[in-house]
Amino acid sequence: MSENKNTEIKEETVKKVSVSILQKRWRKFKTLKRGYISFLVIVTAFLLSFILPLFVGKSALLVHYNGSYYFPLFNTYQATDLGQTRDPYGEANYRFLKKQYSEENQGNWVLMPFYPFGPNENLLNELEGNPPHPPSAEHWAGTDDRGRDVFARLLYGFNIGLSFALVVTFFSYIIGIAIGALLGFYGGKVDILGQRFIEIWGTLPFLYVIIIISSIINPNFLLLVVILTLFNWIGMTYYMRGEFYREKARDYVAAAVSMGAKNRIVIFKHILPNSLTPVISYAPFAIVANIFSLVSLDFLGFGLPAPTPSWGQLMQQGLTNIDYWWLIMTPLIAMFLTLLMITFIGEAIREAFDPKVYSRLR
Amino acid sequence: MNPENILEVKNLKVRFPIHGGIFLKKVAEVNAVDGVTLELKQGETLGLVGESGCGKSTVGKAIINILKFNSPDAIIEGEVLLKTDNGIIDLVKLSTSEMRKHRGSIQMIFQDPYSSLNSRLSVGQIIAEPMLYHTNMTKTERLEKVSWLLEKVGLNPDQSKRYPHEFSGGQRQRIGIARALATNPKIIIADEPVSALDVSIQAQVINLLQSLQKDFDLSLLFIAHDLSVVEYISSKIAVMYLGNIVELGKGADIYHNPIHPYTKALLSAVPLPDPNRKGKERVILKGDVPTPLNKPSGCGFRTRCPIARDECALKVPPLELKRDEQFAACPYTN
Repeated sequence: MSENKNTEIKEETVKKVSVSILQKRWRKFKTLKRGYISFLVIVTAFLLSFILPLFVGKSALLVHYNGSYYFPLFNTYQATDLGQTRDPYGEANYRFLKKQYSEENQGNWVLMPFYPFGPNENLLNELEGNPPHPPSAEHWAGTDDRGRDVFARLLYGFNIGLSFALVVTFFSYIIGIAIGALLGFYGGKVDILGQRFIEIWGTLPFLYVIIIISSIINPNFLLLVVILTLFNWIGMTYYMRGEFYREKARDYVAAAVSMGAKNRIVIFKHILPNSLTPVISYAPFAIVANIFSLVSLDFLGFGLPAPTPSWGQLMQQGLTNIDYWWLIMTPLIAMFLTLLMITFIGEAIREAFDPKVYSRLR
Repeated sequence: MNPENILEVKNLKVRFPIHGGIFLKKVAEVNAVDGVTLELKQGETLGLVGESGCGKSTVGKAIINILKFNSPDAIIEGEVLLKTDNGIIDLVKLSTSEMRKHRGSIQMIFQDPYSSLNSRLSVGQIIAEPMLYHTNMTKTERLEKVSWLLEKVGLNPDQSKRYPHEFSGGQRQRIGIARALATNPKIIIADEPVSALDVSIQAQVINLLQSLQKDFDLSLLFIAHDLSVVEYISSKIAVMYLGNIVELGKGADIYHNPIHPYTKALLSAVPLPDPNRKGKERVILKGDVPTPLNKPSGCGFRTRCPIARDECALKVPPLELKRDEQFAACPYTN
């Protein structure tokens, strides 16, 4: 038994390859189950949401009609092309086709996605009664007041909301890190003038600017990203400026300068990698905040243009149709779960990056 | 410049202005270094001792010209003459980019081995970095030299893929030494290289520095606050007090026959690891070190000097030759 243990220990020491601090922190992160599982769930869900039409959508994956195959995911087919008999106008309705083919029993078939409803399609001609329709076995979260499937809209909204938040966070971090780093590294007049500029910029009322802009032009995804980025970069500059001020005075930076490194190398190779703790630990919370911004803007009606599936727009419908509980509950639950899981990730990252554990230079 | 010397510091003065008030006017000045003159011969070790705050580290940083990096408004006067293959250059007058070209020949070892290594880079990357800026070596050449240097400083060449946090303080200081040697410098400024280490490790690192000095024919400026450490390694010692050099001479002379009253007090404060040797009387100084913000007039040491006279307040005493190659800045003692 003891021999066994010995060999085990030996193997472990042999295996113990050198670990950088980042790898150490990643290992620590993996031990924080709540955050790690949330991370896996969110990342998987986000990646899957890019191939969402394979699972959720109105277009069939594959149609076999009169001996040839059709791929409606990549092409649009007219109803008449595929011999649709019910409402044969405009684009083919593959749910009708599926029913029709199985009734005709002529060897034609349609392979539908698992959840065969699209986010923007109006189901009024298929459903009885007036919208919003309550949740049912077919429509898991009912329909909204225009007869669109709420569940499909939620899923597509997840992709748009999270992509939006990631893009905004990424660009505002790049700007914030760059400007904060310049202020902290060069200090002196650059710092004083830069700080004053940031203070003035920071007093611009974000919501009014958005309202004014969206009253002039209809905002789209790109424009909203630009506007939000312009207002979001400020927060990161404070952290980066402080980090750079502190790290600049450390001996390893003096060593880099005294060995002849140029400022560019000192900044990017030496100080920046040692200043990323606030960047990484705030990122999940920034993503949460940016998801929330988009939801709020959509809720107020200044967000993404009309048919785009979005959680804020669903909530706004829920508010106007307060009797239809699913319109407000489902986006709320979806948002709650998403934001909760991202916050869990953030907490775990913060714990794993706690400088007290592996103090950043030891 | 004396042809034997590789580095000459002439009347070096470093002042840090202090700004205050609403308009950040200059309200005061810290005279960290107040006219220091030093010479360093090829292959020689010069020890620079003094208590905390006397400006010895500032001298080192001024020589290597990195003071302005963290204190851009520091005022540096005087000359730091470095002998290069293309003649003598004054490091104080060089611009940042001109200075960069000469950094390969003058390197520094830092006091704190924990903060002087970038924890995001592996040991191999740390040691190879100066070669990137000063040589045209290929990657394999650099890797070979890293292994060779690691062996030279007593570490295992296999450890070059490891990260600094996997090493102990003494080992990290060896990494710092290897990095300083990477560009084959002529001069190394060691800024209290052993103060942060355990006593047992101190001896190892000092012995290593000594043997490397012989191997590489280095000129070493060894800054320390511990006289016994400096005496062991240095051929010459300069004693600093409040921004001035008060005594300069051969290591053994200073250690056994100090002239300046401050050196005497400093030496009597060195603890002796021998409980039976009680013979020497201790010189206990009165008061505290005056702040360099408000230095006493004349001799900086007069407020605490046991033999101070009224005349001491009149002018700064120059270094005078007292004995064989031993200089002291005090006219009233021998």
